[in-house]
Amino acid sequence: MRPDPMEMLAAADPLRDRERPTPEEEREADELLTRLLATAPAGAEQRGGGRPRVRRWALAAVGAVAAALAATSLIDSDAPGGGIVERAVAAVTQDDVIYHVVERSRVEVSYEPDADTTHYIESFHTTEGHIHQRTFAARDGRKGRMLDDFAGVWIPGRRVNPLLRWDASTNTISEAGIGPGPDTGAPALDPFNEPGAQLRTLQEQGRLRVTGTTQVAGRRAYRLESGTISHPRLRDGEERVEFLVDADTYLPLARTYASVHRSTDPEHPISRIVVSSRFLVYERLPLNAKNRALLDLDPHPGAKCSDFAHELRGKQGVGFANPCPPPDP
Amino acid sequence: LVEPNRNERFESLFREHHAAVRGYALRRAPRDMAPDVVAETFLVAWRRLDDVPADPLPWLYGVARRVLANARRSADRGLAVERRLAAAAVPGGRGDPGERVGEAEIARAALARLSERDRETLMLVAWEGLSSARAARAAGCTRAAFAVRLHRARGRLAAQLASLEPPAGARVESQSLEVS
Repeated sequence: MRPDPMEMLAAADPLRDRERPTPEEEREADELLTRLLATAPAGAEQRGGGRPRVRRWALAAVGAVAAALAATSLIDSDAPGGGIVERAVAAVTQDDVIYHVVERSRVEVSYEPDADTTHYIESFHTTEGHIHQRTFAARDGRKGRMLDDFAGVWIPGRRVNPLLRWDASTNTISEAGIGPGPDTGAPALDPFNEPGAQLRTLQEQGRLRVTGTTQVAGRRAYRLESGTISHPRLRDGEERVEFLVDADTYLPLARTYASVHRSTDPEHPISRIVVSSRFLVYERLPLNAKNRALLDLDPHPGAKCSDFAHELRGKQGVGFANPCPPPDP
Repeated sequence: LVEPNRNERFESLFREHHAAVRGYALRRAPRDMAPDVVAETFLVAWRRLDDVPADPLPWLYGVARRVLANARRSADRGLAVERRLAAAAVPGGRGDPGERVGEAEIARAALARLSERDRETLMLVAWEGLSSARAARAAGCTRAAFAVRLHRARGRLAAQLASLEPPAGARVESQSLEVS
């Protein structure tokens, strides 16, 4: 007699014999729960029109506490990958159309227990893609030597400042012969002013998964132009601007950040090369094109690098590979 | 002020249903994709905690189903489940003749030949163990509509099983569906 199809199907359940999760699965579940509770904005998708469940002052207080906790977690973060910031990237086209993407900057740290040097890489994640940037130099149209722009970065106390990538890149650019970095004491050269020299960034792109892992889907090289940074999402005539926002509140970490690519050395040509001329201040994360009313577009007021670095030092509580000049009195 | 036990509510929901949602995802998605589905499902639950009904599991399954559909569309993995199910059991003349024909493999192969909706209907009942009423909520349809779906899917499954069952005495290679 032929068995009942549903009984046959029930017996064919591939998970039929799995009664309890493994310890590894339990650990992953705990990690996921912790991550959700820590990062997901509760009630963020609360539907409009109804009576607000949270008073504004309470929301502000909670936001302040969350920001403080986030800052504390960054300061106390000794674990690999502990330093995570959100970054909003926007571009202003020539006809004043705002184009933006939201990225999450994640720092992955690899420790060498017996060495004084801690290497880290910085990965830029978006909700749809993952970009891992490395910068290299090419001269006279030839393919240049790949630069590890993160090598040699010293992170005191094994804490991570994810914003110092250009400190390292200045050194590695010097290794490639474009110009000596500040460590050598000699002035660095501007690659854009050298005949035939080009500065390119190599981006590995892929998909960021919710678990934090990344599925890499290939790489492309983009040329960096003076005053702008190439970006795969930008079209001709668009300019990239960017700044930091708090991971939990989406509020800017500081009043004005022209670019996270600004060098800690205001005299270094990298500062002039990569800093964008315009910037946006988000009052909140722009979720779609209709949220333009939430954006406040202003010209760059010319925030000094020292202010930038000093403010970051206070917030992040991490050391700098190269001494940052003190802020102006 | 903020509802004091919001975190506790979500943690309770998570603890109680994580394994079920994970099983739901593992049965339908490639192994490397399932954790994403689970995470996104609970992310939605966390953000919409006030919308979660008193019986949350069918609701969670419904969310997971949509997350899975979105993930398949974006990653072009729509055929992965079919391929995976089909690869799990392909009855035929090959294989060790001394090995016993596995009914489970035949059932999975028959399931793989059904439409997406038929598969989901059957799996909600047979693998997720939901009643028709709860499965209807998970599928996003009325109880009556689900009953009709289930009846028809069951008939189509039976037909596929009949077509796949080898003649008496035949043997096929036994394969198992890879799950973690």
